[in-house]
Amino acid sequence: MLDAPQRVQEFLTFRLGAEEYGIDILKVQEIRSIDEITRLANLPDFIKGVIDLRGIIVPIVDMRLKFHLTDSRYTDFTVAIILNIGSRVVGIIVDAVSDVVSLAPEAIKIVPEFGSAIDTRYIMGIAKLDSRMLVLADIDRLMTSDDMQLIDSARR
Amino acid sequence: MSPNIDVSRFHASFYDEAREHVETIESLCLGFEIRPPEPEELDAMFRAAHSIKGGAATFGFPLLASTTHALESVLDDLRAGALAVSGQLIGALLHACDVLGVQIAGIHHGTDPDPGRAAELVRLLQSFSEASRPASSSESCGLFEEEPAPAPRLDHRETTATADARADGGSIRVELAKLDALINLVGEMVIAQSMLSEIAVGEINARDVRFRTAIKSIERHTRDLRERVMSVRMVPIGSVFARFQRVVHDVAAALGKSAQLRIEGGESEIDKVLTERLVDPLTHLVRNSLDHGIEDPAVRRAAGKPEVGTILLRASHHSGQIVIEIADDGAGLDRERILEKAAERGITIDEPASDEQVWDLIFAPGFSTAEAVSDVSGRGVGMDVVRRNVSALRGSVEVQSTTGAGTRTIIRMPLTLAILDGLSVSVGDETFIVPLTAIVESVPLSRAKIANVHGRGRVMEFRDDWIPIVPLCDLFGILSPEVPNPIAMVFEADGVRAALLVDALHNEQQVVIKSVEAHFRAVPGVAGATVLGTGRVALILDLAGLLRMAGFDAGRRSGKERTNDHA
Repeated sequence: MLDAPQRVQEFLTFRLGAEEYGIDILKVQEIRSIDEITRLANLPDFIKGVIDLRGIIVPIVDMRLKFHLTDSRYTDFTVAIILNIGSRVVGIIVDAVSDVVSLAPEAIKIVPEFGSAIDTRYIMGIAKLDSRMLVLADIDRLMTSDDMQLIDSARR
Repeated sequence: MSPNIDVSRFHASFYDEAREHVETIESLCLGFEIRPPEPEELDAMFRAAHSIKGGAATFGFPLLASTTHALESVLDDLRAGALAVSGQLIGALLHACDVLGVQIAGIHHGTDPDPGRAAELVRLLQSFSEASRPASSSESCGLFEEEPAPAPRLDHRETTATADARADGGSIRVELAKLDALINLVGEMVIAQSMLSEIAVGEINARDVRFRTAIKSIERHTRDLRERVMSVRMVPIGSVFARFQRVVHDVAAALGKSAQLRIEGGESEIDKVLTERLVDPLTHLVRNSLDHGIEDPAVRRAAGKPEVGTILLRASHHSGQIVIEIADDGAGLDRERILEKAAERGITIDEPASDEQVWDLIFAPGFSTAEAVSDVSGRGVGMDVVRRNVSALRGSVEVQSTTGAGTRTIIRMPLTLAILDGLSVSVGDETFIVPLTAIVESVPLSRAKIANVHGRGRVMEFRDDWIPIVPLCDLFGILSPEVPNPIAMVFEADGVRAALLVDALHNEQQVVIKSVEAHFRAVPGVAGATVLGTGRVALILDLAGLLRMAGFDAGRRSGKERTNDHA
């Protein structure tokens, strides 16, 4: 058995605009193409609506709109990552999913003040991987935060 | 038992079962007040007590086991004929039900039982058993020997299990979550099947008879499967009604009145989830009937009525809904007093008002005609709460009353919250489902008489009344080009009539209701969602919510504005 501090974590990496992000693979339920999304009225534009995921109604957030990226066109690579956040299922739209990487704790650096699209509060750290730089997002914290508006504030 | 086995997970099911057994004993016992017991009833009571005892011993609740044992002995004497039913005995048995109920609830909540109260009950029950002892010493029911010690024996369990299976035709307890998962899967299959059918229509293979037959039979079996799965959730409403025997007995006694409960249509089936949510409104209505409806015995005698008042709980199925009536033969509603009270509360009404309009005032928030806040009803929760509770179950409540002859409250609601009869409508590119029961009529807007009210938007004439027009595209911010023939769909929600403006009506369909909130949050104007045959999600409209969004809420009645509440 490995000691806790040396535990290697796996991250799913995806692209949002010019940046590459990584999220804990254990939070990811599946990746799917974007089917027809049913729009919900009177909600912020980044909440694209809901889809049917084998019988459950799941909200879909377009991360590109949420983080004000200029280009939010749908291409063949645009996918939805279905996440398990606590007892909830939520989908996020990203530009493309790249791969799964394993990172040892020492490969993860604490973030300095850093100009990424995602607020530093929701970033666990950054990792350098050959020529790539990954921003590791604290997806739990991000998705349950007030500014995602996914949860009734009364119910939190 | 090995310490590694966690028995606590069995506690929940034991708790449910034990509670049901106590209810069985209680309701049978109350029946004995009216007529002598049947041998099968005594057997059923004995079995129920015996099951509680067996379970209590197995799961390690010795006090519950010994208390139930004392009860069981009395019941055994009763069915052996060694004891006769008397008012005293019924009182003692009901008391036993209460004590057991508290102990069982204690197990559920993890609180310790009160041994003093239990010991007192055991002594009371033993006094009955002992009185019967000389006569019963030689008798034996053949199943069990006399047990000198109150400690229960575990080897009775097998006998109990077989007896139970016989009694209820062999049923099992299933978690609701498992059923929901099953319903979800069937729902998905229905969608897949309708996609398949759609594809099949365009296929060359469709000319093949075998292919067509296969498609048809999948269609039929899927529909049957869905109906069967849905029916698993349904239970007879009598299980809810039965508990009111006790409510009527106790409340009447507390008020010094005399009343009996009559139950009709207890076999009508309803979603198990709904039965639990009906208890509160029904309790309120039954208590109301006893408190305000049924008169004191002397008054009844003077009015030429039987001294014992009757409360009727009746259920029936009517056009896909369940209709529940709570009727009493009491004094009826007092028109003058209601109007007086309404005036005091600042609730106004157009005169001359019909009786129906006056009766409807009792549903206004904060309305209560009780002179003093009594123990029985009038605890600040009124008929408005009853209406709100029933509305939340997509139902409606109305009151009929004849002064001097009694009051009848009628609740109409769907049989289940899992499926909905809906009409699909479209606005722009979007499709919505409207609950069919709320729709009064649909008319092309071009044929309606329209007027503009400053600051209130457009209104439309409908059956000698002017009702507001609620444009769905504005509320939901849908960009839709003007359609040549929009439809005004007249609906009623929370007692308010309005017309919803939509582009077109499509077909009526039964849809499976899915929660939007389970993985998201509440969305104004949306009651839920469903999945259409195309696999696309359609939203189910919350008409009362839409009215609130448009600024017309339930506080408005008979054209009068109420300004004080927005709850």
